[in-house]
Amino acid sequence: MKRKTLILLLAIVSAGVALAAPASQKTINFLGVWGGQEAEVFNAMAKQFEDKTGIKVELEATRDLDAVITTRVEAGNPPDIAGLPGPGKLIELAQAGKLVELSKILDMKEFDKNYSSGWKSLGTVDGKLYGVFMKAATKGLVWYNPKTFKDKDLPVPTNEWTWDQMMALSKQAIAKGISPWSIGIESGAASGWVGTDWLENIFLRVNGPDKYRDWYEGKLAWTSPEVKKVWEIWGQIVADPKMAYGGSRYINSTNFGNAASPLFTKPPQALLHQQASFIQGFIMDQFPTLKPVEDFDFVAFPAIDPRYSKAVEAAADVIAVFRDTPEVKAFVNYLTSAEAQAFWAAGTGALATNKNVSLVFYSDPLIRRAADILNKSEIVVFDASDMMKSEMNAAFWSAVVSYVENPKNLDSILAQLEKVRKEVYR
Amino acid sequence: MHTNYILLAIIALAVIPIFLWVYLLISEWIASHTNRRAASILRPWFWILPAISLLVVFLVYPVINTIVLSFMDSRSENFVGLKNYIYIFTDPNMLIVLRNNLLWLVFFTAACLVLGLVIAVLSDRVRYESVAKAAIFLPMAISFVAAGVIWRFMYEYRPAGSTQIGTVNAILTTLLPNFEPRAWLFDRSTNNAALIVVGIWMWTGFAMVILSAGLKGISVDVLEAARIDGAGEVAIFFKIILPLMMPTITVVATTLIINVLKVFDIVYVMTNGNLGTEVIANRMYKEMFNYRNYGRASAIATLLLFAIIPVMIMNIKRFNAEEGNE
Repeated sequence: MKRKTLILLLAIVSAGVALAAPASQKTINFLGVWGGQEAEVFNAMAKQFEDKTGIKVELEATRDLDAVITTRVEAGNPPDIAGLPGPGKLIELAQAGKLVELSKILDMKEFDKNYSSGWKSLGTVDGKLYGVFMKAATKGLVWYNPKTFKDKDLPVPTNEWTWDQMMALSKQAIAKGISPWSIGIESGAASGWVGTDWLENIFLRVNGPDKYRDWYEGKLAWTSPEVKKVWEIWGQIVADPKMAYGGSRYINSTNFGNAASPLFTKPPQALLHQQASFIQGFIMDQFPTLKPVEDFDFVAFPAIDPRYSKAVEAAADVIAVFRDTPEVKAFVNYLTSAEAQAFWAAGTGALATNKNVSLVFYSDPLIRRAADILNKSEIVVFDASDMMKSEMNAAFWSAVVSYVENPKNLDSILAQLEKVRKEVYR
Repeated sequence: MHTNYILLAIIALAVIPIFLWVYLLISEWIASHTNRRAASILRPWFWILPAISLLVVFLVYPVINTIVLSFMDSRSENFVGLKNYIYIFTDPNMLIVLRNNLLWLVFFTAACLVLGLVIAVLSDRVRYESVAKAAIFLPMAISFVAAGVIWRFMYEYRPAGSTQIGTVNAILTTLLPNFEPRAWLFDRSTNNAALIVVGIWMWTGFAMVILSAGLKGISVDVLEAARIDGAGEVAIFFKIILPLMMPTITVVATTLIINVLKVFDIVYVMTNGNLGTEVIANRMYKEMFNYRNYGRASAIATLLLFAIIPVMIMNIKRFNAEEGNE
């Protein structure tokens, strides 16, 4: 009996060894946040790479990327490559010495041809390139339904409009019985980020790009008049139940992905919606019959200080590399190529960061216009909250939720943020 | 480059029993080559050693390490004394966290026990008992995350005047024409209660099943004797059933308390701790994985551990006493 057991165990071991032999196929483990349509596009893009090289790319997706990356890095089991949602985490990981310097991997001549210096400097930490951006979005676009403007006989805004004109338009809308804005900031573990986009866009247009940099680098106090003013300007909309559809309850309880819907219901319940270029995908998923330009369109965020009227905020996923292997090298070079990035442009309503992706790849006129705005802007800044350290960013998100709930608490909310800033940026 | 995990698992599956078998052969050989008395002392230790060493590596060492880390700074580099603990008991956000755990502890445990007991007693007297109990027990089978998602749909809010798509608001606005729909999860006056209700919905079944088993253990003769003596049903419940079931109730209560102190998933999925709903486990997760503040995360973990230990000891004592009685 004993001998039989031993033989059985030995058989299992040899079977295991035998199984290992064909498992030598090269695989790359890619950790990202993409699901649904985004994952489909990524897989299509990876498929083309697989067909060419025989290297398999496995996408592992999670919405709680921050936590998963931290655990896996700490456990000594990082992915080969990760698609991080912003430079904040990139800087953290690079400074901790967890990332591979990309100049060792990338064909830098090719890279410099394809990428503008802005994207390059965003991916650089302490003078070394660690991150390469892809799948960008233009942030702070104001979406609207042209038919509502026609029915209600309201003047359609232009790209050159100002905050005052926006407030005037809002008053007219209220008089005609429709809420000016629809806002929804719920987003699971990241609830509140939509509000940070609002505040960042206002901040940029009130205080300019230099102060903006100080702000995300933790050099500007949250309790400073510059910052407080920004919240108060946003308060003109969120603190007034007449200005935002459903008031604070609706704003806090509505998922960002559904927040554009009140513009397209019958009858429409709101006039305007602020969101990045990617919301087009959500709108078209929920209302498949709508046609871009004809049924929904966007204008730039209203200007506040005329000096900063040609400013735009962008966001993008950033690719960071944890392991330097020939397979990873091949894939990262492929990811940065115009050939691979055209997949994003054609598929998701995202913008390619490779400037040699021709505008003809963009699947529709709106996305083409968003890409054009991004390429032509005088001042391009990255999403400030994504540049902040994780703890600051998370506190910022929660602060937005608390502010929407009760704008009267602004001073104590800012004091709390300031306390976090002092701890995080010692 | 990549470790083949399946291969590793298969090898482990075979290597561990082989290793244990060889280990036992050697230890038996040692035991048989000593005198009888020494062998009788050594043998139990040889047999229990593998289990103890696993326990030390995977439980004792991490616990001690966590306690040590709780006295260190965020990167575990410098000793900071009680700073992390002072933070836990003075930071206004942490105080809200502690308050919420207390709310959970009191209302969740009380509601599960009372409802569980009431349902157990009432269903004991009807013919469709198993159906009724199955319905109450069913939510136990759902994962916390799934329950959170389900209840988020139930609590969904739409402004007054538009169609309510959340079950709770839809029912209330239909039944009470003047009812103003509420954002249950986003209003500070209702959000903690809304979360606790989900927990109660899931765990009442557990309390009911155990209490029902305890109830069935009460001898019919005792109850009949009481009835013959002229006791009413209410008196029987409070003076006979309840005292006789006290040991079971205590076990259920302590199990519920241990579980409620660790509550995480429901809050994580439904509000992520926003608007004053955060609980200890969520805070620990955030400090650890989002903020990478190992000192604070460890201090919170230690606090949780020491809060649970007395309850656990009580539970084990009760359990032993009950085993001993029978």
